[in-house]
Amino acid sequence: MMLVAQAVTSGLALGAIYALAASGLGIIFGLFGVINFAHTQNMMVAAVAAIAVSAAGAPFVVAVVVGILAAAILGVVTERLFIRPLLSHDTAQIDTLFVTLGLSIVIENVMLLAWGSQPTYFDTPLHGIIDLGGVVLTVDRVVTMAMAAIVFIALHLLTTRLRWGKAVLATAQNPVAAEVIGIPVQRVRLTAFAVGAGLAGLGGIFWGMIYSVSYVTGATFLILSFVLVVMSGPGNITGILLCSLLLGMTESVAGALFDAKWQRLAVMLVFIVLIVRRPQGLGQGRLTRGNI
Amino acid sequence: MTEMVDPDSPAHIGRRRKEYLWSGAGFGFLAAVPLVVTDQYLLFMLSLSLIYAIIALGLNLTNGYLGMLNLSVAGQVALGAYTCAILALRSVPIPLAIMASVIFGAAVAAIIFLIFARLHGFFFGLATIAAAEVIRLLIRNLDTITNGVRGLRGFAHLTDSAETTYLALVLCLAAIMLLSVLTVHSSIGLRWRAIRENRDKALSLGIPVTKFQFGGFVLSGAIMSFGGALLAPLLQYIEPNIAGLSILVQTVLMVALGGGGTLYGPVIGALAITLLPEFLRLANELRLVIYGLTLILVVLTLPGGILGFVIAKLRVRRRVAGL
Repeated sequence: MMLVAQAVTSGLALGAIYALAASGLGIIFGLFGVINFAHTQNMMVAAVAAIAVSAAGAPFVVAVVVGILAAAILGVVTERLFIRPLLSHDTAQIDTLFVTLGLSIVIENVMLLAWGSQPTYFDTPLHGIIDLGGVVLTVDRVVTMAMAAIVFIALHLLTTRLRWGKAVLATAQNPVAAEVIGIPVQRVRLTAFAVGAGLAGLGGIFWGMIYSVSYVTGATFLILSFVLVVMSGPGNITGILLCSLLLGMTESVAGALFDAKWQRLAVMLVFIVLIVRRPQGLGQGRLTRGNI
Repeated sequence: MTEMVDPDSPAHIGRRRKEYLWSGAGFGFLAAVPLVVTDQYLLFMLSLSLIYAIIALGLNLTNGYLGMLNLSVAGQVALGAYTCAILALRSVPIPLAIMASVIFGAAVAAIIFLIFARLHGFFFGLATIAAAEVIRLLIRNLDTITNGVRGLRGFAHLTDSAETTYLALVLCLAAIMLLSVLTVHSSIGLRWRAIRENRDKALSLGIPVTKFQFGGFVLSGAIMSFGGALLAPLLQYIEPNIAGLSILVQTVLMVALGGGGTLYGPVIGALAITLLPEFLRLANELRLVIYGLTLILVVLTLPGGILGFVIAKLRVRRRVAGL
């Protein structure tokens, strides 16, 4: 029983990272319908940047900020150079898939050439453990969960309360009409990509803190992050948090009960069952393109 | 996209005959290569490119002609390769092992399609990636049968010499090409294209869309598993990462570069993509970087691929000449 409780709590931390990885995709793919297969490469790039800056002697907070900025810049470059030129194509969605798939492979292998195949981890001041009557949590995991909670509350407020969120929704729903009423459509899309990539970067930094980062980290999360957005339903940003926690716990508990090698398979099977039973996702969010 | 012509009209049959002649000449040229090339390694690379051409042809049926987003390449290839290798290690003759792989590949493709039949577009694509990932994880984890991450080696070769292997593969590619040509030029192919151009209209015309998609998906899966089954005895070593993302990128690139929805484009793409990095003598990581960059460039600047580009140019010339 204690084993399962322990697995559930570490699963929550794992789920928090998944949630950060997929949150940006919830805007980019869930709202704009853009398939960005390079999205999770932002995680790896942010973590590697943070580790490099930290190794150069920068304080922890600076390293984290630099990592997030690196990811945000990559997100902006992706949108500007590789996605925007494709929007006029007939088969824009599939073309974006292929272009970003190519970009993903390029980033991964450039990183392999430059950084090597050795996994590295982000050494931070967040050491120590918290004992909750037998269930042990590390401080970095607690911080991760707290950050995920803050990010999702902020995202919720951003998309429902702020002008920017309304502009994002309007742009996603009908770019032409949005432009007509004076929304700077291009800039809104660009900022959405920057925010999405930055959030993924934050997830990557935590991943590098708790586990370790190597050139394959982006590929590890790629399918999973799309799975999460599809599972939660289009535009359902809070749903992503719930689905991430569900999958994180599934993975962790499967690892505790059976064998670590069956973790990923359990996650994939949960996804397959869900997408077959409910192709529309677990819940239609309030932020769907059809109803604002 | 491709114009819809009555496949039995006389003008079309004339053009078809010319196409068959060109295609026969092309395969004759491919078969004559060992007369000139004696270098064993080069022959191996040529053989490899023929197998990739088969895989690309398989993918092209669903993605190019049916307009489906089938991303299960890696899974189907790995399935074929592992079935063939496991049977060959239990001293089943190679041809039988390959046949078994094709049947198994087709069966798994049928199961994948039946599970995900309700999904369309990207959601179907994502589900097929998930299916490929399940296949990869099963191969990695069922180590009593597949030897896990250590991979399998020590099974029989395709034939005794590099030359005969190459010729056998030319024959295999010719057979798959003939199968594709006959299917695409038949009334089945016409309906496939109708589904690709406008799914709802095809439905309203009474074409059983799901049934045709099922047939195309299973055929495509069987061909890709066939390619995988040929891959194992040629490479002599397979490991679970054969089902990784890089083979998906590679095959998608071959189809896109040559020209999706054309019969010969994927073959041209496969030959170019496998042979060029070899002539440039690139390290593996650099090869993948170049693949990625090429894929980006092709989709951004050459949407119809090489063949689409050439056909468009030819059409303009014909139109200018008043033909």
